[in-house]
Amino acid sequence: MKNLLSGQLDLVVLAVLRDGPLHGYAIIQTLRERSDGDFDILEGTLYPVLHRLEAAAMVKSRWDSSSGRRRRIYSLTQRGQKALIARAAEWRSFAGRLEVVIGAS
Amino acid sequence: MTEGAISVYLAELEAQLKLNGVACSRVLAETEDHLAATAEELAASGSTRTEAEAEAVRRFGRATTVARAFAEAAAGSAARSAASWALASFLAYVAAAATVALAAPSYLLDFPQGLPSWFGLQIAVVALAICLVRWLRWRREPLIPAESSAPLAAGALVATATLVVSAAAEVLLAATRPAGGWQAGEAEAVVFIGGALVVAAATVVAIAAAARSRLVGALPRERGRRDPRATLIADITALSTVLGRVATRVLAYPRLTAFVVAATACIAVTVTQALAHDFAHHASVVIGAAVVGTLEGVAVAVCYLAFGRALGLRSAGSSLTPAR
Repeated sequence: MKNLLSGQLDLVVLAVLRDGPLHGYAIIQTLRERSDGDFDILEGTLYPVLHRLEAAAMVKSRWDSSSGRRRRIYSLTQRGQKALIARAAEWRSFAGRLEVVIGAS
Repeated sequence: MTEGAISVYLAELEAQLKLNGVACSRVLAETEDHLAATAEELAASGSTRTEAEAEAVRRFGRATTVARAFAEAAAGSAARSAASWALASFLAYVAAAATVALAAPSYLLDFPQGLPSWFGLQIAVVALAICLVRWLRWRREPLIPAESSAPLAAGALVATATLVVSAAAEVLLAATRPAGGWQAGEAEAVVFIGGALVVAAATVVAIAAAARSRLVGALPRERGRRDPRATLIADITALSTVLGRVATRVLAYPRLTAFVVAATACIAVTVTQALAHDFAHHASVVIGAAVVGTLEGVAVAVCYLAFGRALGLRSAGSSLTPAR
């Protein structure tokens, strides 16, 4: 499961951020909750993903201290939303074809 | 700074980030916050502070792995940026060279003035075309794998370094003209030097990107992390299956292809040079054209040998046998 997930981390992170701005720790928690604990990534690998998505203008970030702790909050940009829609469609198409192939064997 | 396992981890991560040339203040701040939040949650659920910190660090992953991921992302961004700078500098150089060629008095443009630019621009066009293929292939991906960011940065470096050498040679030729006379083309010279400075800036960006990619490439790799798709053929195939098939055939025999291109360039330049003169039937014109054509063919062959590997046109020890 981990190997399959590592190739789709960008998509998964964009999908988690679709519901609103989050900091890194909350993204990990949301991911774990939504997958019933199956998507248990090495937490440190999330931040390079967030930074490169930001470099690609798919997410934006800002410092926030409202919780009493200084945290970097990430949110989806318009470009990120478009990328999420495109990648989700791509993934669904791939998964559908894979299912057809596996089902036939 | 938090005490215990977390502070030890942060120190190790900082060292690894610095080793990989990654700006680390923001990364460390985010990591510290993340580890502290995890440790607090674990402590609240019954773990001791020591256990909680150790578990938070374990969940975060090895410092070397995290630092490598940041370095790879930074190398990809740097390579993309270098390619954009290389293209901009090429356009600036073309504009500057064209301004000189069109506006400067003709007696300032006598042979060999302009020759370095003629060769430099050709090499830059080939390097940038290869860069463009790679840039197009990865344009929608946030991450360029290390295996692909290295040749992208190398292509940008070949293009910009060639142009900077050309510019320097042109300036040297202009400065050492026995008859002088550049006072008559002062404005054009200023425009040319402006273009050359843009090229110099792009070269610095390309050197930094190439160094960063080389650094990432030299890092220890996790098992199964090598990307086999980082060849020019794979890049072309990813853009177009038809072009990919053509590229596979053309690049299968790199030396033979280079020889054919060199021979074609030699003939084309010889014929063009000869026909450009009113006295094309005259032996001296034909010989002069053949000399320029031969020079062009030799330049193609030399460039293939000098830059072919950096541009991904040939692999180490490539020969007349198919490239693999």
